[in-house]
Amino acid sequence: MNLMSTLRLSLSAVLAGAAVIAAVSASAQTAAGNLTTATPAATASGATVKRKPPTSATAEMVNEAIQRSEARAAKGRASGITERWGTEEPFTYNPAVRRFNTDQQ
Amino acid sequence: MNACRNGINTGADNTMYISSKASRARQREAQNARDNRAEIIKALSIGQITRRDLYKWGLLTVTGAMALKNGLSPFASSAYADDIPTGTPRSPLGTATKFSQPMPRLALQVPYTLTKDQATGNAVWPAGLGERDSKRLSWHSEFTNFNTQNPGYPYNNNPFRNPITARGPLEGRPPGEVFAHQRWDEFFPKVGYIMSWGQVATGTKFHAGMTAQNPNAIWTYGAGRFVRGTLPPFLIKGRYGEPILTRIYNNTPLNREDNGGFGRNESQLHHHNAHNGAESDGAANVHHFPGTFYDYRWSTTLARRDTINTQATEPRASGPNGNGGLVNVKGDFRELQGTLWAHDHRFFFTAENVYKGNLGMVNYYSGPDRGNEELADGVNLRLPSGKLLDYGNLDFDVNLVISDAATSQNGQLFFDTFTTDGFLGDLPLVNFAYAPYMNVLPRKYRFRILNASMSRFYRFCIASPNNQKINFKFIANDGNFVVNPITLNTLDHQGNAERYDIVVDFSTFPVGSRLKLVNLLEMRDDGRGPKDTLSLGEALQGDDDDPVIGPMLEFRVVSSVPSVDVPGYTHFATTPDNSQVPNTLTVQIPIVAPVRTRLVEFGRSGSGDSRGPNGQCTPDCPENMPFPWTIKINGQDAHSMNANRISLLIPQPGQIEHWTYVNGGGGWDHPIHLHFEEGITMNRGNKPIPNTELLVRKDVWRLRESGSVTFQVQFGEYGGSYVNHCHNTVHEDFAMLMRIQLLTGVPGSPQTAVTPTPNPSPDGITFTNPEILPEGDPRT
Repeated sequence: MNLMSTLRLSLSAVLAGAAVIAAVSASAQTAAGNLTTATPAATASGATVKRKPPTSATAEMVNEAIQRSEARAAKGRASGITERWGTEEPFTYNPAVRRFNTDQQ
Repeated sequence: MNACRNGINTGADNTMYISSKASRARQREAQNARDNRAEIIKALSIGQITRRDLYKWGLLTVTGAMALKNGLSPFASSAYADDIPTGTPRSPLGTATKFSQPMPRLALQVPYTLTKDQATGNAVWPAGLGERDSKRLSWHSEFTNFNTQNPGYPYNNNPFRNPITARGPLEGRPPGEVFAHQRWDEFFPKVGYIMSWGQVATGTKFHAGMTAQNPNAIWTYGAGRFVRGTLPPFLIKGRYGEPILTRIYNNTPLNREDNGGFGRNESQLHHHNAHNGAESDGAANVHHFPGTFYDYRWSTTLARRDTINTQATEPRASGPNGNGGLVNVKGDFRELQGTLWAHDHRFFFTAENVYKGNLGMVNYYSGPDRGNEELADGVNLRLPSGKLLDYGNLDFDVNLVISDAATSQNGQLFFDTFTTDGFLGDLPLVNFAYAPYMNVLPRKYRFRILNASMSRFYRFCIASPNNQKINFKFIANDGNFVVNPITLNTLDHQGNAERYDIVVDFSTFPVGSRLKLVNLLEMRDDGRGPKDTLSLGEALQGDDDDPVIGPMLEFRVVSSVPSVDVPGYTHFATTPDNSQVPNTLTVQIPIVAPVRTRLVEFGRSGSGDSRGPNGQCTPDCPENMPFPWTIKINGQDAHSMNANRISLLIPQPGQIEHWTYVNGGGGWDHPIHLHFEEGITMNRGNKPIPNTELLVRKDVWRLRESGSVTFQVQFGEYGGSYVNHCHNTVHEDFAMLMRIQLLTGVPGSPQTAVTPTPNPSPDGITFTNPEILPEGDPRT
């Protein structure tokens, strides 16, 4: 099949009326209680410096990550729409809910 | 089948492959869609159009997926029924039927003996081969030096240039000390293999009743220099104490577009997951080009050799000497490896190249895992294998490369390069043969099962003649013994690249019985992960929408089989089976307090950042390639693959770390592979750990839906640049992969510092200094 004829014939019909999937773009947002994010800190001079991020993880960080993942899965189930692109949804981290049991091993 | 059993709409209300009972109109419609996609793929591969054109025409979404349009996408609604997808046409079977051809055993490679040139320190190949020596430093160094001393390249007749293209060096390994073989003299190669990767031999078929593959439909390995590839894939038998030099010639076509529609004619061969220096790991961004070779030194190093059993007095830390005895080696016998494999790792093209045939298996033999079932010396476990050879018997120790494939309507291997989620085939293959049978004696067999698929997971059981699951013993996970054999009648999910070793006892079945290896696992249509486990009864009925569900291999119990170890010898059913499956296979490595912990999230955060400021990937990737899959370290920003970015840095050898992987997404699974070292599986969050994983060493972990896994890991002996990635190779290519840097080389070696990034080109290697993510660098 010739490519251009393909595009002119079979695909031209396809193009009409077909909905292109819109990309979902959302920035990462987490609620208070997120212990993992390095945030800029103001200095006495007013300049902003970036604090060195943690190079070792804590159980809290893992717990939050699992809760975030579960929140996405729940959203997927509720909406019936598969996550397609960079969809980091806001969710509220609850430190009291333990999803990471360090005593399992 | 119901695509929404798990509550997630996968973008379709039916499966990807249309039913063979679908109307002719629907089958034509599906074929048109595939033809259109194939046409576009081909046009892209030869530069006739660009992905930018496709965006402009509205045929590509920003995710990089083909737009959901009838005539293009298998998930678009059919013109003949609004609520069902177009689907994908089934691969034509010709006259092939299941279980109508014998299963081929993997192509065992024969080693050459290497000798050491005392003057140069080089490894010398047998004279008749006409091979240049293998050296500690790459021949690229000579190429560079010659050009420096004899200006005028490319017209200076540099004797170290690519003999086919007369452009660039003849060896793909980068020049200089950074890519010198680490600990060369200590692990001087004693044996060597010469293999070429290239067009498959004429007449190669998945089944005699199917169409022969065109030379560029499959690129696989053949024994020798600049020879055609062959199927089934290769098998190399290694043993501790006998380092290997594997010289790989790139014999693929010079022109990229001569690829049968997919595949890149550049490769780096990853020895998954052997304990090798980064220069031989095959994932340090050192792919090489047609006409060149690359010398991989597979050291057979036993981990912890610098700290445990340093006098080599422990007999279990050993390899067979070929005469019934052992060669002791330094290191920890609890770290012994057995079932390994090797496959292409060309970044951004791994799925295409591996699917196209760039893979083989490697069995490592040791004192305990001898591959001899009768030799009784108190060390040998005597697992089912055979007895005719001193070690490495294969008569009753069988490698099974499980994969799925698809062909176009002309019967040629087909791959959809537009999928960013996963690729599922509809042809069940074992050792690249379509649903074969295997004759077995009524005795015990060991099977080394590799999931070599790109995206499909499996879940296997063995069905008896009366369709009941039979028990078997699980003995090793990813090539690592479990402490005690585990009796099962169904394996856990087996993700991409995972290896499960099991022992099956056919002795209770009379000659004439037929049993089947059955895949119970239903996949999501989009290839992102598994969906449901079917009952054996359901799976045996087969699934018209997914022919890879159900029986894939038939075992026929017979009264005699020819030996594969000693051609001409015949084994009989009446011969006693003296093999054993001892109650203890190894000793547990304890879990201890770590020096540090790491959190790694694998998901779809942000838009990916594989391209540098110049808009280019490192290494080069297709124009406008999207990067939906990303990785986060310790909760920081997400990144997609860039070979010039270090995401995790290991500052010292011997430090014990605990890592937790979290599946950052909702409804899919990721089989995550850590190169070079295995981790001891400790924790699955708040979910149960199956016995086949609990405290077991692994190198691939399925994260499971919203799941996590924590493991203990320790690095040592070698250093340099390695990677950690999803082994759904479609996710890996798009670009769920990160570089890890091990500052764990021997004192004084270049690997104790961050090594520069090699940037391969047909003209040679240049180096750049990598970026290091601060959250991955625990130094100061």
